[in-house]
Amino acid sequence: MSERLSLRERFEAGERGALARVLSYIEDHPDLRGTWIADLPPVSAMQIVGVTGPPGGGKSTLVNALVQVYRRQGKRVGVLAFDPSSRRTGGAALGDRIRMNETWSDDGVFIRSLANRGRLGGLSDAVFGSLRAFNAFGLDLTLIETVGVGQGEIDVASVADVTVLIQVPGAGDTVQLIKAGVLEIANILVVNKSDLPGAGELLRDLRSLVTQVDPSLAHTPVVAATATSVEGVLPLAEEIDKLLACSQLDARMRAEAEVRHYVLSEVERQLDALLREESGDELVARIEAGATNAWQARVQLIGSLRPA
Amino acid sequence: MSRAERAPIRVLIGKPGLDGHDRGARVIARALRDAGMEVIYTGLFQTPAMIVRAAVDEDVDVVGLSILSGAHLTLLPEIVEGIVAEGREDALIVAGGTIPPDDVQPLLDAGVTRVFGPGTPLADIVEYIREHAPSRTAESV
Ligand SMILES: Nc1nc2c(ncn2[C@@H]2O[C@H](COP(=O)(O)OP(=O)(O)O)[C@@H](O)[C@H]2O)c(=O)[nH]1
Ligand SMILES: [Mg+2]
Repeated sequence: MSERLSLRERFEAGERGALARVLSYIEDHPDLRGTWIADLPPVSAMQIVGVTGPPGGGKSTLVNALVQVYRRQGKRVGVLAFDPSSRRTGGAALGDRIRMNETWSDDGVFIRSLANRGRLGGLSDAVFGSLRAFNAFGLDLTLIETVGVGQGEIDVASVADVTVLIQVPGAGDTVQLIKAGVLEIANILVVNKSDLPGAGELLRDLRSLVTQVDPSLAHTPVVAATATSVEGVLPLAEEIDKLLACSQLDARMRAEAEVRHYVLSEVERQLDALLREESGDELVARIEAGATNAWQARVQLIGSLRPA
Repeated sequence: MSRAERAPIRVLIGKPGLDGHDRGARVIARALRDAGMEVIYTGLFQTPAMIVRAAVDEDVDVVGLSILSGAHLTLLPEIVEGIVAEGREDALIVAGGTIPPDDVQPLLDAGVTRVFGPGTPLADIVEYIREHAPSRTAESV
């Protein structure tokens, strides 16, 4: 803990406070250019499991149970738990840790709560950098809990090796799943809270749903879980391990998702700024008045983007 | 490469000790969130070591401790010590709940930055934190 060591030296020595500070730096600085943090290598050995599903479905509880399963396997485990930022104030209530208190004293577990900071898609801009940092820190497996507002949280599928989608009995409408387009991204469907009435029915519904929606999904495992105990997630963990053993996410796919993500967020940031400028304001007014149209205006706006 | 202007202050709301009421903690957490901060709440019955671990891993700027059990003179100094031992002497540590006036000075001496007496308006707490939260901006990597 010497003051003389640099952040990098502390990070490389495995100090958790240094990892924590690196994660903050990644969150706070969209542009890491010129720092050693930008040069952390892409995720290689570390496995990544994504958990998504509706609010209150038991994502955090399930992650907490899975962490313990993987600790029993001797793996060092990271958790990235996302929650929504308020659009209005930018603030966020990050409450996932409440369900993850069991492993607090375990040095082999590192849990980090993140707000999505306005990013749609269930994660935040910091996810890629954070995963690289976890990987470089030597963690063996990371669990990602998506925001969980129940709307199109599909980013996780392009980041995780295995994506788990939670459903719970009594929450209604499996048709919503198809509409939201999340069914296709799931490698495993979980009926959590299978101790509650209606679980058997939901299991059957989901099994027939996956075959109806798309024959290629027919082999998607549908598993029951009770996330409130470690034993209650063992069948799920078995399915995850099977998939991890045979189907690592293509490293190229993750690289593509990463660069896509950075480009889009830069464009979005610049576009926001352009539209707030006077010329942007005028452009929008002219579209509104019919003097030009959005289709033409896009050319002008794209032309105004600056090299990052 | 400056820190994004909008980067929010990160706060841990800790509830050390054995009293089972966290209404106050939740009210504070909500007020800070509504003031644009990212607030991590870890639930009831936290030991000092648990709070220190969460504060370090979450790299919070501020640790807010809500305590009603009367055990503040033992628990709070222990938390401050732990946070300093982890190299986080920069963190702002504030406390509230039912802390009698006579106990305030000993807590300040132990390294708690500020003690809010019962009935302190939420707006005052928010403003204090906003003004005094350390900034990570200066950190070079
Ligand atoms: N009965 C039952 N309750 C559960 C189960 N898993 C989670 N819960 C409860 O569901 C609530 C929401 O869980 P949480 O993990 O916070 O959900 P999240 O919002 O998806 O992260 C909590 O009260 C959990 O204790 C389960 O398998 N069975
Ligand atoms: Mg959660």
